[in-house]
Order: sequence, then C-alpha cells, then structure tokens
Amino acid sequence: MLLWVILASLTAIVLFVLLRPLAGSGGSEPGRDAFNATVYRDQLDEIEADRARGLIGEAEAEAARLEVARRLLAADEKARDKSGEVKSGAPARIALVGVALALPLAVLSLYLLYGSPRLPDQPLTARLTDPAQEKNVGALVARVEARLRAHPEEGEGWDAIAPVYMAGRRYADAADAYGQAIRLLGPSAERLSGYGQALVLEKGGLVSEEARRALEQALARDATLVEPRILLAIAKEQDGDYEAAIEDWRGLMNREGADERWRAMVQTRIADAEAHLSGAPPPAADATPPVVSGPSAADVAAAETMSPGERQAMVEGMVQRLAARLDAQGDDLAGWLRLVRAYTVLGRDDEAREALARAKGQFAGNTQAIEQLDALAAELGLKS
Amino acid sequence: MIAETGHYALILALAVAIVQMVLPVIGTRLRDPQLTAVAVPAAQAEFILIGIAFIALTTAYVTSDFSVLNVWQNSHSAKPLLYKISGVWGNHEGSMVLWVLILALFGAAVATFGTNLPRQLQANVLAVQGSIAVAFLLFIIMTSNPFARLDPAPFDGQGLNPVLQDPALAFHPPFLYAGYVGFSMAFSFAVAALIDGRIDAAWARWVRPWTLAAWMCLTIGIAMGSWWAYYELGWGGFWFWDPVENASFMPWLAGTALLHSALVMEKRDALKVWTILLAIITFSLSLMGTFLVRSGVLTSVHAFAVDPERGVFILGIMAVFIGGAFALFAWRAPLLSQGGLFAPISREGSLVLNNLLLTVACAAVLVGTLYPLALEAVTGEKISVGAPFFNLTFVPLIVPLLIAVPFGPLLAWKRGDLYAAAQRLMVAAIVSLGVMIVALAINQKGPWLAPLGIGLGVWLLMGAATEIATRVKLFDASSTESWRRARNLPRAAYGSALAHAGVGLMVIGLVATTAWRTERIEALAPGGTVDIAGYQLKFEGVAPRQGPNYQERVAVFEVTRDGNPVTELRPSKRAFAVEKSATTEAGIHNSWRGDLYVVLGDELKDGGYSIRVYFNPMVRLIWIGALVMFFGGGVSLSDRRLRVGAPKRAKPKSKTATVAAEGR
Repeated sequence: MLLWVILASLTAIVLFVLLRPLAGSGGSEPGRDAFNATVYRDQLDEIEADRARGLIGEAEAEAARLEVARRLLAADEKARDKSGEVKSGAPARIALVGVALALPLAVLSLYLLYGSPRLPDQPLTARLTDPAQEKNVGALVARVEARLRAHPEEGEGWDAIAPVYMAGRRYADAADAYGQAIRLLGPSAERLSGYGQALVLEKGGLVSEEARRALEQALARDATLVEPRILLAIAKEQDGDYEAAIEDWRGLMNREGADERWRAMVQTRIADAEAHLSGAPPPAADATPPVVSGPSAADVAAAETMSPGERQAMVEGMVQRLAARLDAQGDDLAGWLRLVRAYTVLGRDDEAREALARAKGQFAGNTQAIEQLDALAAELGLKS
Repeated sequence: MIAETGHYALILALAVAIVQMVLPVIGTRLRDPQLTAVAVPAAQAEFILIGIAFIALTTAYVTSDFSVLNVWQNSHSAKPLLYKISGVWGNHEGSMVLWVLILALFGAAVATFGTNLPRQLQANVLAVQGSIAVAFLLFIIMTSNPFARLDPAPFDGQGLNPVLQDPALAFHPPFLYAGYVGFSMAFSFAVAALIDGRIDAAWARWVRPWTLAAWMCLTIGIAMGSWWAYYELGWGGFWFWDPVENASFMPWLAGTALLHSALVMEKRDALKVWTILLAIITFSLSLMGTFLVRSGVLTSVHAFAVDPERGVFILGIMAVFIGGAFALFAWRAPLLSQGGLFAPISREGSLVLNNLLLTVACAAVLVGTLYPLALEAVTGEKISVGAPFFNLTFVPLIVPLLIAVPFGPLLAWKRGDLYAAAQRLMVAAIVSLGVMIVALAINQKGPWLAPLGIGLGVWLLMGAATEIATRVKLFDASSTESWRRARNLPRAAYGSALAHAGVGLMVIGLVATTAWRTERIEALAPGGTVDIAGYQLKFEGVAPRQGPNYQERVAVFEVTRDGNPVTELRPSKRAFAVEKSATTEAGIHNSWRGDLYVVLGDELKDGGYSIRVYFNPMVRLIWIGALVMFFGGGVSLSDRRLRVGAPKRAKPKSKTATVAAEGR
C-alpha cells in the first residue's frame, strides 16, 4: 500500500512541476536578437577590459571592437523589427489536458507490464536474521557460508554444508567443503565417501586417482557403503578392467537390500561390460547412456605406460577421432553425449558447447534425444 | 519497495522525456512561450527521476538485495563496499542507467544555468537532449531492465568479474561516460541550430565550455583505463589499439578537434558550419563507441547474433540519430550564415590545420577498428589490426600536428606572421635539437626514431613555455612588467599552454617506454636473484594471504641498487572463489627514471616460479601528461570571461561601419 502512495505522490509532483508553465498566463519573452545583442555588448566590455589590462594593444582592440560592433548593430536592428511576439492559449490548454491524462496512464500501464509491485525489498542482512526464514535451505546455506568466511577453521560448519552443496549440485564447493572437514575434523567414512563422490561429479563422471583413493579409504572404514562401490566399479571400467568391474557389480547385486534405484543401472552396466569383453558393440547404445563410456582396453593399457603429457595427447587424439567419426556419421546420440562430456572434462567448454549445438541440430525433432542432451548440458553446467 | 520505486521512477522519466522531446519543439514552431517553457522543468524532473532510479539500484547493491536480478548477477555479499557500489555500473544494465543519468545531468544543467540563452534555443536543445533520453530509456526498460526481479531470491550473488574489482576501474566508467555523454551537449546545440536554421551568438559561448568539460572527463577516463591495463593485465602494456580502446579514442580525437574549432567560433564567429558538423561527428562516434562496447559486436560478430535484441536496438538508435543529424545537416546547413573571414596563415588557419589532421587521424583509427569487423561479417575471416597498422597510419598524421602545435598559439587572429612565430620558437627548437642529440649519444644503438620522438616531446614542452614567455614579454620587458602581465594573463592562456605541455610529457613517456623498455623472464627459486636496469631483485619466496573475497599468493622481492636497499616488491596472484577466476597484481616501484615492474608467474615443477621483470623508462609521464592535460582543461574552464579574439593590424574596412561603431 505504502508503495502505491509513494508512486502516486511521485507522479502528482512530477505532473505539477511539468504542467505549471502550461497553466500560467504565458508571459512574453525577449526575442532572440535581444539575447544576441546582450552577448555582443558583453564582448565589447570584455575587449575594453583586456585593453585596460594591457593584454591587447590599442590597434588590436580597435579592430576587434569594430567587428563586434558591426554584429551588434545588425542584431539590434533585427530585435527592433520583431520583439515579444506572443501567441498563447489553445495549444497550451490542449497539451495541459493531454499530458495530465495520458502520462499517468501510460506510466502506470508500462510499470504494470514490467514491474513487480508485490515483491518487497529483500536486503540480505534482514533476510539472514529473519526467523521466518529458518526452514529455508538457501537461508541456512547463506548463514553458514557467512559464518565460514569469518571462521574458516570451524570444521563442523564445513561438515554440515558439504552434503547441502552436493544436493544443490555445487560439486566443486562440496569437494572443497568435504576436504576442509577432513582436514579439520579428521577423516570419517562419510566424509571420505562424500569427498570422493564430489570429485567424481565435479569431473563430470571421471574417477580421478585422488577420488579413487578417498573412496577406497571410505570403504575401508565402512564396508557397508554402496556409493563408493559403484564409483570404484566405474573406475575399473574406465581403466579397462571389465572383469574386475563385473565382479564388483555382481557383488553389489548380491548384497542384502540391493536397492531398486540402482539395480537396473547395475544390470545395464554388467551387460555393457560383458559386451566390451566379448568385443561386440554395446547392446543398448540408445538406452540410458552410461555415466562414462571409456576408451578401448588397448588404449587404456597403452595409457598406463605413458607420461602425463603423452597421456593427455592420447586422450586428445581419441576425442579427435570421435569428433571425426561423428562428423562423418552424426546419428550416434551416445557418441555425441560422450564427445560433449569429454570436451568438458578437457576444459574445452567452447567446443563442448559447439558439439552440443551440433548434436541438437542433428537430432532436431527427436524430443527424447534433445531432452538427454539438455540434461547433460545442465549437469555439466554448459549454457548453449 | 525501494527497488520498485526506482523502477517506477525510471518509467516516469521516460514519459517526462517524451514530453520534453515533443512540447518544446511545438512551442518554438508555434511561437508559444507556454509550451516552450515546459522544457526547463521537464529536464530538471527527468534528472531527479533518473537520480531516484540510480539511488534505488545502488541501495539494492549496497544492501545485497538479491531479489533484484541485476544485483544477483553482478554482486556478492562478501564483496568490499567500494566494489558493491562500482558493481552498479560494472555491468550492462547498470552502466546504461549511469549513461542516462549523466545525460539527464547535462540536460538539467542547461535548464538550470541556461537563463542567458535565448528561450527558443534552450528549448530546442533540451528537446534534442530529451529525444536522446527517450531512445536510451526505452532501450533500458525494454531490453536491459536493471530492476527485473527474482522470486524467490537466491541467497548469494554471482559476484563481479575480479578484474573489475580495482580502484581505477571503479571510477573509469563514470568519467568515460561523462565524456561520451558530455559531447551530447554539443550535438544537441548543433541539431537545435540546424532546426532553427540559425546560430545565436550565445551558441559557442555555451558549447565550448561544455565540450571542454566533456573532453576533460574523457581524457581522464581513457587515462585511467590505460593505467589500469598497465598495472593489472600484467605485462606492462598501456595501450593495445584494441577496438574497445579505439571506441573511446575516436570521440576523443574528434572532441579535441571540436574543442579547437569551437574556440574559433566563440572568439571569431568563424568556422560555424564546420563546428556544427564536428559536433555531430563527435557525438556519433560516442554513440558508436557505446554500440561497439555494448552490443557484443566486438567479442565476435557472431556474439551480436546471440543477443540480437540489444544490438539491433542500439543500431536503430545510432541510425536514427546519426542518420537524422546528417540529413538535417545536409538540408539546413546551407541556411546558416558564414562567419568571419581569415587568412590561411593565422590562428584560425592553424586551428583548421589542427582540425584537418585530427579528423583524418580519427578516420584512420575508424578504418582500423571497423575493417576487421566488416571483413569478419562478410567473409568470416578473423584478422586483427594492431599496432603496425596504426603506426603506419595514425602516427604519420599525428606527428606533423604535434610539430605544428607550438606555432598555433603564437600566430595572431585573422592574419598571422609565420616568420615571426618561427623566430620566437628558435630557442625551443635549439633546446629540443640539443635533447635529441644527447638522447642519440646516450643510446647509441637505436631505435633510431626514438631520439626524434623525445625531441618532439621536448619541442611541445618548450613551445608551451615559449607561448607564455611571449605573452608576458619575458626578457623583452622589465621583470615587473612581465610579472604584471603574467598576473593579468587570462587563465585560458595558461590552460592551453598546460594542455599542450601535457601532450609533450605524454609523447616523451610513450616514446621512452616503447623504445627503451627492458625485460627479463626468469625461472627463479626462492633465494634467486635477477638483475635489470641497475637494480638487483632477490626473490624471498611466496606466501599465502587471505583477502576480503579472495585468496592470494604473494611473492616478496628485496630490491637493491648497488647494494643499497631500495624497496620491497610484492606481486601476487589472486584467486576469487565466487567468480572462479584469478587476477595478477604486479609489484611496481616507481622512480623518476622509470618503473620497475614485477609479475609473479606460474609455479614450476621444481618449486621455482616463472618471474617476469620489466623496466619501463619514464612510463609515468604518460599518465602525468594526461593529468596535466586534464588540469589545463580545468584551468581554462575556470576562466569565466567571454572570449573575443582581437585581430592584429586590421585596417578599417568601411567608413560607415566605423561611424556606426563609434556611435554606440
């Protein structure tokens, strides 16, 4: 309500100021040539002052005076011809009524179109101390973050906020928070497992050496954890060790309380890995894409013996081959998904975006494929 | 409520600007003083309304109100207060609000202080200002609304680009915009004169100081930008001939020309049509600068297509204003009366030469800026036009201008004596020649053009001194007489001499740094040393440090010279967690000889760091020169006198005129 009072009074004041000249009687004004004449007279005075101060000589002053005087004379003559020509009345009244009616209407409709009059201000300090925000996760996160900025040595804070980051898909922040919690409070199975998961998700599904160490340590502390097992099996797949991976997957399936949520996924992966072992193409390439589809076993075996630089070159080469293949035959959705992900992992975001855009072009009209591409883009944080 | 009031005020300002654009013009056409009189309160109200919007937006930034989309996108609660405020114009939407705010400020100034202007002229000027405001307010509200809201509001923002979190860049945009927009005054006066088909005597009296103020702001704005690039980008460069820089440099060149031609117009009532054309060109270049920077054309021609709404809108604004103004010029300029006559060798003549060279140099920059864009748009080929192109085109144009600068102020109005001026400059010429020879002797192994450049700088400095010396008749008259004259000399004379001397300082700095900079790139482990330009730097090591919203790794260097301690330099690398990017802070030690400049590079495998060390001789003179130019402009601006250029040795032309003049 207060907002509307402010807006109405603002409008009223502006209208009053704006329209006052139109409501008056309309005084006369001196013609333009009278103004010109004033300027010329001022200039004559100035020349005189300059001469008096010795800045210009007599002769120069005289010449300047002559020029200005000639202009002054002309202006004076014109000013006498037509001074104070005044018309007034009808146009001013039409403008008065027109503006007074149209302006508030136009402004109000534009404001209602673009504005959000119901939304109050929400300055941060007020929000953080507002008890009504107690249940809001965002507010809690902001509060903890503010506290951690001031006291970065409080491990409990990092421990509390890390899972929240995970849920919010802020994987880099989550990895950092778990890392801080481990540093300050010491390792625990949950922290190590969370740290490993965050690292994997941050890298878009790639299980790095550091992540594997953390996950293995987590399992060593608590063998009942499921997530580290899944990720470690994926790591084995990535290394090309499909037999060990299948063994792991089977182990998972046989465990007590094998969860429906991941049972189907594990089955697909077993089939996938078996297909790899037998050398046949994966049976269901068009089904849910695996989190990571890796290079061939031979490639990986070769990678083991390489220096980091060479390994990088090999990865680049594989990505290049994949891109070339997709250039030639573009109807391979799984291939596109892999390419986009690979580019992101390599940090070549621009190319990832380009690949994404091209894949979308390829599968235009195929809503399911587009959905998968979009989901991947969201997961990797790519904006096309 | 504050945010919404700001939003409403912005829309109300648009409505007021429309009134300001329409009613006064009808008023001057119908000779209706009531309609004409609306211009003044409208311009004032517009300024206050946009001011309310700006304050509302700033409040949202300072209080971290993330329910405002723009704040969420460009701020963060952990940012220091200064950068929360500068964040207001550190983004597209907010900077456009600042743009219209400055525009409205200039309009309000004409409305409030323009009581000595003819009513109709003032009304037309304000109407033109109003039309510019309408275009940009529409642009803001429809395509770049800073008051768009978010519901529910996030709890923290995305932060401001860390390279913008810097004191020089915090104040760079306001000055730059004051310059750009300041030229809109000259533009509005020019278009108003064209609408009326006449130029009032008060015209130049108003245009020159406002152009000067805009030019001062642009000068200092550009200098701040290059100063920032020098210490922040980490390789000691200060000017890259980058399109963004050129976008601000072109209005500066045209504005400098305008400043000088407006001077002729004010003092001598000559060069009227040319001045009007130049005013239109200058503001058109300002608009183009805004377009180039704001539309995304520069990052890539394709980026333009990504956000076509904004780009096309600004392109439309440009087309209307530039096209409209030139069409109006073509149609109405023949109506304008020509002013005073002058001989080719005269102060006026020298200023025409100045204008000619400045505008052609500006055209060279324009080609170098737009050609790559056009080529990319047509053929898709990306080329970059850099220093080599501008060294071949811009420099040969600007050097003759700089050589000519000292002659100008020594020539008399109307008809001058080049020989006498040359005689007065003899001392200046001998001194600069001497400096040239000394510079050549000290640096025997080239670059060969560098001593010439230094000589040119000294020539400008000496020329400025000669001008003052001549005016006060130093050594020609008694010292008391000279002192009396020095006190009586108008401040404008000191101002122009200072500004020209500033150019000289800048030339010396530019040439010395470009020609004689030395550079070392070393891999240093802690304890290692590097020698450069007589200094010895000992690398003590690297330590982490926590800043307000970043973490940095600071390297410490002990600097000694001939064994005596000089200073300690601490270059650093800052990592900004929120924005996920890093900046490099150079460690700089400045002395009269030049700047010692150290940059901390990446950590190497063996625990060492790659370290870059530069010695930039006399580099500070570039910015000191810009400051002197700014200061000179200020001195000239503080001179409230009317300027009349007295011609020399003029013979009375006709008897009647003499009689008439004496009759007054």
